[in-house]
Amino acid sequence: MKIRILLAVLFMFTFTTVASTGATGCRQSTREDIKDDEVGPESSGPYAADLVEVTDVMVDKLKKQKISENFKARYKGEPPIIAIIRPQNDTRFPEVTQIFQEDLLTAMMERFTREQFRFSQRDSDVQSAIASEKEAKEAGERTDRTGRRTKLGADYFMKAKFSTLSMTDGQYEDDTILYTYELIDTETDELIFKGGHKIRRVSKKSAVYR
Amino acid sequence: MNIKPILALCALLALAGCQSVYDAKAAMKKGGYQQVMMDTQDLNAFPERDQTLVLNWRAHSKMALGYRDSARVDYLRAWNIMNHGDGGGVAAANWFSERQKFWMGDPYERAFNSWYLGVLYYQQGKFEDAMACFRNAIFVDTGDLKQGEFAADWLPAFVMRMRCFLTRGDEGSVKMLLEEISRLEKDKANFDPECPWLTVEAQKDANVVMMIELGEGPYFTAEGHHGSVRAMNQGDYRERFAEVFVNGQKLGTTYKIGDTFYQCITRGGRVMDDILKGKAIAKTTMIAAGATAMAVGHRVGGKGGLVAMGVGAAVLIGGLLMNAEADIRGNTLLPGETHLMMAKLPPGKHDVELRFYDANGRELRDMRQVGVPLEVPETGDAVLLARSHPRYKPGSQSQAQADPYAGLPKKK
Repeated sequence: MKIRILLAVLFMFTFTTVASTGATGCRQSTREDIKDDEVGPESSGPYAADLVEVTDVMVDKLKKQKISENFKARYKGEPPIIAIIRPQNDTRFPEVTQIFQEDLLTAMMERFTREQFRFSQRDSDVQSAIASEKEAKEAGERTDRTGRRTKLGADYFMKAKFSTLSMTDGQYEDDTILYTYELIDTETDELIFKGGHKIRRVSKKSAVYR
Repeated sequence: MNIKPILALCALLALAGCQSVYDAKAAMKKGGYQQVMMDTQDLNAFPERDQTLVLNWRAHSKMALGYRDSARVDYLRAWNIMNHGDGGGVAAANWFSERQKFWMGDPYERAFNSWYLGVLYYQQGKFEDAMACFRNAIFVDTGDLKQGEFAADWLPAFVMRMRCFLTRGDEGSVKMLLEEISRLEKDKANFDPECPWLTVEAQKDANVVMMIELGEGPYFTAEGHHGSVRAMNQGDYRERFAEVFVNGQKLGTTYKIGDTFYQCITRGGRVMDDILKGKAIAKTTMIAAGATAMAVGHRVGGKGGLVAMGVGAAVLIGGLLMNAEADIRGNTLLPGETHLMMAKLPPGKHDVELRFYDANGRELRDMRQVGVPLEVPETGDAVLLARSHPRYKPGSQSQAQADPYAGLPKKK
């Protein structure tokens, strides 16, 4: 009988140890493949898959509207120059804008040739480096390519904005994220196109958390 | 049968898994923020369930010593867990100590995490990321509005969100936020309604934002039946307001825009509180029933008595193992109050002096801080986050990018 009691105590001890060292587990989701990304109750906030999805929609829009072809037809076969403006982030999720901007630029440069579109680099750090390089060239401290001192003037600005309608009832966090994007003619401020893409994510919190 | 060894073992088991979390307050007393930063260098030295809290402490200590970039990385890591994570250890928390669950922070602690991260982004010039953080700070401070629950009323997040809108030239959204603030209850326990910077004009006019933190934030204690009641206690501190001097000239007096204790106590109850109450009752019942069964079994003797003793022992062990004590982990490095000072200063380097006063208007000389660096840019804002703690050193821009553990062996 004593052995049985001892065994029972040992069982409880093992259970305590296992439970206290986290066998019950942290169910925090980690995503290694963006294709695994799902819209479901286990996740909240924008993920890489959302951004890729929106990028695809934007690139398709450029193709469908024949922006490059129309521009070239009007301006002696020269491809239009696009500058991507840093997206405006009105969601509650940080670290989204930079990845989106880089991802969009990379996707566009991969999917369009230089004969279709040209892109202007407008990042502030690059801009200041270019400005000091130009200064050095103009001062004769560095060599230049005559006639090509002028920086690319963009024909179009591509701008994106992320907004959310975020709600909570204490148990669920519900985020409807609206990705809007637009192509603006920089000379006439004409809105060439504007589109939106909506993604809803809901996450459930355990009742033991406030 | 001698049951004393079993009872002793049960007592030991009941204590299993109740190791106390790192005591950040004691570390602060010992060696200030430097001590906390060094103690928390190796995150893996702490149980996984406490790591998010430790990350917040580590981030806080780095920020306090001016290592802003490194602090931002830690705050973001904690942010991801606190906002995207599901927590963990919940099953264990339901039977054993509540402390077994993964710490995710109370709403006010999540708001502070987002807010600090936002300020660090803002100081780095990443306004869109800062904007998102301030929005999240407001979101986590909001309940189910459909059910008439609490609306966000912690002003620091509102003020910094307004600054973000102004970087976009979006005056309309600043007005909208000010209208939201004007609808809040003018409760001096929460913020000073006389704060002069809650107008569009004042916001547009200023290019310097000083958020000055005073005192110690709230802390939790386990009280009541089996410690099942989580009591919220106000931190003890003397300072009530601050005066700011720039380049030797008095700029003015700060205004309270946030009270951490107020935020802590006005967020409603927790489901866990009911679970703990139930556990406390069950624990008492099980111990009493188990002990009675064992005593009866002992008296009856024979085979039946042994069975009764066995069942009683099992029930007693269950009761002793059940831990109804409330989780008292909390971010004890948070301030008691957040004060605001805004001004318009010429671009360039300035020297800031901060003086702190008690409720009777007497200066607390041991808290006076001189030579706090402030650099106002040609365009945009300078944001200074300071604290009444004499060891809080906001540091310079060059310090911001430094590695806090430079020269020390690498740890995760």
